[in-house]
Amino acid sequence: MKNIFTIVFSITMMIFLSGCAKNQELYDYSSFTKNKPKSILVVLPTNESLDIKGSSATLANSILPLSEAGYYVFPPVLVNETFKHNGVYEAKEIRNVSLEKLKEIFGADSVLYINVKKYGNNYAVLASKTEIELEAKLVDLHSGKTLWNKETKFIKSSGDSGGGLIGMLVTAVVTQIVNESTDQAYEASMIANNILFRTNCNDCILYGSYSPNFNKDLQLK
Amino acid sequence: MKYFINTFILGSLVVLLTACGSNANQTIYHWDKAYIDSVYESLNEEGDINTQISNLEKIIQDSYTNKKKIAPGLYAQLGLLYSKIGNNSKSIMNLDKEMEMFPESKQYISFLKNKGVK
Repeated sequence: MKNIFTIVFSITMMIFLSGCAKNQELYDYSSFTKNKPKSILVVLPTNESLDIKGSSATLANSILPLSEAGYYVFPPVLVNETFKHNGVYEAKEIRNVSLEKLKEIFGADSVLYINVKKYGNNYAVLASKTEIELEAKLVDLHSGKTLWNKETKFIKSSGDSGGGLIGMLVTAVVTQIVNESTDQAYEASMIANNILFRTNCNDCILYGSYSPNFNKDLQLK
Repeated sequence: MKYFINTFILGSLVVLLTACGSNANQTIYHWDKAYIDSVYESLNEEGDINTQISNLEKIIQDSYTNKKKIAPGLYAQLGLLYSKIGNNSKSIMNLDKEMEMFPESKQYISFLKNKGVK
């Protein structure tokens, strides 16, 4: 299992650090570059999927790519316990907590709202499909402005290879994982998060101040 | 055959990315899946806390060995786990480490220490 993690990790890091694919329209980064958050409060994702673990898997798997992008990521479990102690249990309720209150308690620069649209396995007659669909929105806690948002869809069917270099690569990796892992959706969510929060593409999140690449995003050159 | 194809894809990717001048091994932090799993299990209120504690302690040791920084939130997560088994001194110690490494957490960690983590 550890080997698999190493493989997944090194590959996602490659995806992450590769600035080759530039095929999307350039995102409007004006608010992002004006506010430059140092820290991100990732709150419990809202979950539209049928699997209750869609939220926790997505939250746990967001830590690595966001940290490597150069942000301080607040400890998700403690953050969640803090909400619970204040009587806020549901991800939907967390979305209604005022930005002012979040800033006051956590001292964060920004909050990341993730919605899990799809998470899990659909079993069709002939093949099973692991499908992850995520949308993320980064909101500045000082100005209230949306700094960045993005969606990612990642599908792993038995015996297919997705489109493009990243899709092909990711499929190869997941195929290896699937042979090892009993929790396919959790492993697929690792990859989906690494795609959603990769850097150096035209709609990618910008580097944060802990990254040696801070202010050196390829898409801004 | 599948293995061959995977190897081929990986190999060609490495070549391709090298051509783009990417630097695939330069991570900022030391990563271990056990940290991610600990967060996942805690959120689901599953898993054995003592096992998670020893996993995280081992990651901290490995980070020193590899001369890599500890990832954001790891010390805080360890602090939480210690508080759950009633080891308050180790809990506070790890929360302080989080603050020391990441000043961005200072306001929140101070809030936690005043309120009690649990």
